[in-house]
Amino acid sequence: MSWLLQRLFSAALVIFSVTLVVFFLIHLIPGDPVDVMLGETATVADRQAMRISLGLDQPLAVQLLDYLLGLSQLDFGQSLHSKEAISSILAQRLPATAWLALSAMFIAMLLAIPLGILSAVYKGSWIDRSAMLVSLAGLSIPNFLLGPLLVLVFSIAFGLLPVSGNDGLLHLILPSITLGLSMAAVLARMVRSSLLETLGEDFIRTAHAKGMHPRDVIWKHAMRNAWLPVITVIGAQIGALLGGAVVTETVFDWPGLGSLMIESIQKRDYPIVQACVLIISVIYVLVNALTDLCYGLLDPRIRKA
Amino acid sequence: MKRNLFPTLVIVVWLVAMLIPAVMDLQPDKIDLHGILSSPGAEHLLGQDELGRSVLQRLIAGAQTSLLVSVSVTLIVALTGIFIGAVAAWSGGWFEHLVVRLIDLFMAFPGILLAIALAGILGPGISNLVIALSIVGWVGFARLTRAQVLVLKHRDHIQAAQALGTPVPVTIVQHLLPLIAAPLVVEATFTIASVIIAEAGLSFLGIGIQPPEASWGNMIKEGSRYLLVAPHLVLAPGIALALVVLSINRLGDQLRDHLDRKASLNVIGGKEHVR
Repeated sequence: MSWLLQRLFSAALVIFSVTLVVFFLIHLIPGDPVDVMLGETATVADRQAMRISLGLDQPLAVQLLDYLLGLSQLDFGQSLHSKEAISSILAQRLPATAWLALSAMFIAMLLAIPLGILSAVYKGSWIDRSAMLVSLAGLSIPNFLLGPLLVLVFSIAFGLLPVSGNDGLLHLILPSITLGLSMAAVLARMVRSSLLETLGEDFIRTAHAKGMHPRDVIWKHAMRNAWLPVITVIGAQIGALLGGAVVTETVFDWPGLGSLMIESIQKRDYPIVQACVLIISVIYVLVNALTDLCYGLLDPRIRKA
Repeated sequence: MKRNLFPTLVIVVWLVAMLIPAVMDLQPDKIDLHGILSSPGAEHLLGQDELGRSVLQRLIAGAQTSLLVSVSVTLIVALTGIFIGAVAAWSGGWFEHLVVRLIDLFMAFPGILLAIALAGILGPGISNLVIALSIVGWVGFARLTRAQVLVLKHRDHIQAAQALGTPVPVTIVQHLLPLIAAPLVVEATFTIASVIIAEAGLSFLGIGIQPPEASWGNMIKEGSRYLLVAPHLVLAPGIALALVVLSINRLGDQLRDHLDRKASLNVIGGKEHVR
């Protein structure tokens, strides 16, 4: 139990420090942030009004306290452009990113787990070699290239799927394949190496020696142990997935948090950028904490360590 | 060795792109409105883009950009990361505690997200891009160096050097770092590959290298608007990018396997790929 509390406490600490970093982001703007956000044509009165509305006229400690107090009530401030509350903009955009990330993860696991197992079981065969070559290619082709390539093949050449936008399941397919393939590449390699390591252990030889069916040896003995590092990698890859979502959403014009962040950078609507970074990072920290908890549940050795 | 021929060749071509301007007059920004979106042909080997600029010449200019950014970021993050990691592990105490917390903090931001936010806030341009990627990138080296130095600092020969009164910086640089050079070189290889992707990615998003300056990322971005009529605008920089990154990753993999076999002492393998 104390292990669980410890893990939750450290996650809370990390979330707090992430919040501090995000708060200071806006102070990294070279020169005067108000000038940057308003542009050259703003009047002195406009500048002053914005300075006050952002609280930039207050001492730094007061600004930070205000920011934290606001966050505690889920108040991220308001958009500089539309004056809309950022929390309601985020609420509109979050589901699209969640759908994208979840379906990408689903595709990644669907591809990577069988491929990784086949590669490990038939190590050195043509299956293994071609799977690992494909996975190396998957690692090296970034989302912003894979996306247009898939559009070229599936939307333009074959006319099967819509190019971009967000109405319905068909629009979700290309973005989630784009995002999922790079995760699949990493995952397949991890499943393979983890299973290979387990397959070399004594208890696997014992299982074979007592005449167990090879399929049962893989599933009942080897995979059970091989899962653990794989779960860690899935947790860590969710970070790459959320980062990659920013790019993928921009490629496909998918109305999630990532494309919101890029639009806001272009409009210099920095409070929204801050809120996006904060939300995505907090989700990531929470998912990682959850992964650790799963790990602990699956393997009692971790809890004791 | 033979199987590394192709990746090596790709890297050599990528490096040679740096020298081309010295022997040839490149005009990657030259606009030719008669040749807009023309397909690859005898005069323009890779065709022309939406302003009639030569895709081949922009590809070469983009290669220079990616080389410049990836090498300078990797040098900066390697030097800072190794320094911070080594000092933290050696000195221990509050400084090490602080560094460990900082590393945890940076690892809490998903993938390329922090780099996007930093580059977006600092503003476009090559130097801000290098700054943003460097702020995010030192963590991997610091973590790796710290872990390795912690293992090695109690070795007999290090203790002996200390007992003989060798100054600490000399001990670290001459007696300790050579032992961990192998994993650091592997890390640097993968860092170069991930920085190339990050540079192109940020430029694709419009917050890195700005047109008219050429980057493979902004070429892909501009080209993807003409995918239907002129797919070569995306394919040329895309294939170049994928080939270079694939080759670097492949060589990095081989290098790691080779070093793993050679030095079974305490080598920690590469790192999670950032994308």
